[in-house]
Amino acid sequence: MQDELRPQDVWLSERFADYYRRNPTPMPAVVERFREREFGFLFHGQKFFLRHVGMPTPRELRQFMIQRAPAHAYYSTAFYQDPNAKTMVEKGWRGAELIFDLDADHVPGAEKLGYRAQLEKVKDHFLRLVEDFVMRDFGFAEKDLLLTFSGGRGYHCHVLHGRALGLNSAERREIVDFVTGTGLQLNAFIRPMTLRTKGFGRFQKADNTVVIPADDEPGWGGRINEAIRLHLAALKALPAEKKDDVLRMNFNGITKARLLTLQKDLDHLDEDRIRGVRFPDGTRRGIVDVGVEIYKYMERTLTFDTLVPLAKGETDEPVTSDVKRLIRLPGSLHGKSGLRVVTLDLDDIRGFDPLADAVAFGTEPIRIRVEKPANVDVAGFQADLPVGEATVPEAAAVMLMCRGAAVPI
Amino acid sequence: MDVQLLARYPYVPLAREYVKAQGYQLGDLLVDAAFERVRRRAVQRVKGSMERDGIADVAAATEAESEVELLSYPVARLLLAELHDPYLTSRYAVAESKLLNERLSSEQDDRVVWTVATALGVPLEAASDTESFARLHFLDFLRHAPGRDPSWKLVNQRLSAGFVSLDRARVVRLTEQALKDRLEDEVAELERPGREVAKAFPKELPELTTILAAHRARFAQDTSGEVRIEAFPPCMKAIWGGIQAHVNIPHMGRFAIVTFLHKLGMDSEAVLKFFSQVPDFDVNKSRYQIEHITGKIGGGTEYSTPGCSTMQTYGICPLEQRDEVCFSITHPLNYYRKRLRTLPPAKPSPPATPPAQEAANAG
Repeated sequence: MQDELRPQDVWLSERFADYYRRNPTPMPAVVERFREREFGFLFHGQKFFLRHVGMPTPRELRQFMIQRAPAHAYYSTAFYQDPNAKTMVEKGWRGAELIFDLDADHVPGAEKLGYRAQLEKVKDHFLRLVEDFVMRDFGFAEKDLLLTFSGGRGYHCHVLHGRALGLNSAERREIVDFVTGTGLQLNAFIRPMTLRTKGFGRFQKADNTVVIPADDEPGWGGRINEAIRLHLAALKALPAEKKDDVLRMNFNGITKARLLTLQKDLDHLDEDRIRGVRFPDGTRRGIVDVGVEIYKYMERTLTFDTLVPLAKGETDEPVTSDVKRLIRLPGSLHGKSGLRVVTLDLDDIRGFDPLADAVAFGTEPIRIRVEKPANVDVAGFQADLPVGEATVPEAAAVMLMCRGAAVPI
Repeated sequence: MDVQLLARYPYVPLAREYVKAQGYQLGDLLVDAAFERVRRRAVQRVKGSMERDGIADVAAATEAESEVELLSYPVARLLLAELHDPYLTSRYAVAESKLLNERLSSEQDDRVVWTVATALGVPLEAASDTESFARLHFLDFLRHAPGRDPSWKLVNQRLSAGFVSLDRARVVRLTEQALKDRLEDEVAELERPGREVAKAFPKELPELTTILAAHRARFAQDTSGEVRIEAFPPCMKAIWGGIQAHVNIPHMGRFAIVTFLHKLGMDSEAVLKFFSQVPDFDVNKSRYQIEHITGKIGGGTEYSTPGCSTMQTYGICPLEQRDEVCFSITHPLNYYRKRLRTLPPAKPSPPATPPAQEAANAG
């Protein structure tokens, strides 16, 4: 049943086992309600995924990790009455953590970057996800959260708050839709209002003005304000002919006179007024003095072109809406990088450098044969390696072998 | 709360306590001539749930009238327990909750809205701004928010530090939903009452049964007698496809599709016949289970089909294959009915492709 193990699989298994032996850090301590979790494992050079493993005590898990030295270790976000059972019905679902998983794949523009730069970018977006959405909008406190570096190219946010555990899949979907701005309806937030008129006497006509949420509105309101300001600034910055083109494209038969009026409106936009103005009823709202055509243009293009990409958070939708996900075990090693899955405080994240702070191995020189040209940058060691023999620090050797770029000599 | 108010909202815990405190016994309510009007109103409640206009709102001016209205509620529940029909239960939950909406909407006193909402499991908190009526923690909001309308999506709400701001109309709508969910759960679990209920309503029960059957016939007519696989929701298509491919479908999946077919009007023999389209299907092994699930043997319980939420909890719902109809319903049977309406009428001859291929293509 077992596949033939290659030299690098044996080597890595030994190093991983050694790491687990040397690190008595009780990784299971971060996993609450330990006995109700299902564990899952993948092994170096083996294709099968070992699932439905329940661990009666943390000691069993530690021994398993040392003996079997898995390449990847996971635990269920869900709690089960019987984690060993093979089907969901028999397992007996007892709730699940609410999970946000942010990976370089979800962050636009990250694909083009090198590994180190990707990690930085993902970290920024993760901080925004946690601080703006999870803590500010959803109101979860830091003590309700478990934040981890995934060991690969991303971060996980686990919400452990008791009330969130019973959420079903549809409810979790609503939560992730909130983060990604899916289904956002602009007219739930902004509306045209007749605040001014044009003309005199019997020629007086209403000219629309748009009332929008103020810049300090909670939830999506404030984000919409920001997006509108940016959008209008971009429109305003276009050269006059381009501006005309945009408006003409969106409105057939617009007269030159009207175009001039709209141009003037755009030029006279007052950013402070857009940010927010105190109304007589005590509320604070943003006012955008633009003709109805620009309002309609915003309505049409804002959500798709500007608003959502600018303001939304990113996260993996299927992960959050799944009520029974397997997720990386904190303290375990990631089999594609050799880095550790690290638990972090919010304050630590800003200064966190995975390539230094998530390193599990040392500087012992190891002779390897590089089979694919590779760039490696870990634990302070940086090199561009061509095909052929090389001697590199242990941490780099592990990373290269995990990536499949090198084999031991 | 005075009895007039309790009469309007008989499902709040205070109402139950009032009935107990007054010493009313269910046995007397059923038998005593003095409670004739209570029994009549109870029947009206149940009947109303099958009518287009729902349950008629009656104004209770005097204390006596209020007591009639209040007491008719537990008696109506007895009728439902006796009739023991999931379809009726569902309709009743909808009708009572719509009546609740009407009544709450017309309340002059905001505090009544607060009290009823909180009593029904919508834990409102004071609004933090002048514009809103109340705030609700977003997790409670999610539990009761109606699913279909995009304006109810969490992303379109004013959410601050975990709380959603609501106007009064929305609070009323959430309370309506909370009552509907609660009634569906509670009434489904009511035990079959003893003979006294049947004895107390010798005429009315058969009448209600007939009306229910007529309703059902209309419902069954939607399925044109013949079950149409093209209208199956993605979950059922996936299960059916798996059964034909002899993939090991988890118990909940097999259970779900049997109850689904049964609710569409198939009895256990028809279900078995449906399944025997699958080559090498072991009829004998499955006969016992199918007959049990459809209530033919073993206690007579006809199990209801799991709703979407349950299907997702058990991992049966193929989340990535959901379509727009999926997002407009919360129960596979409703998907089927909706989808059926959009299909052309069934062709008289059997389809050219074998059902397995059809389901695989469509799924």
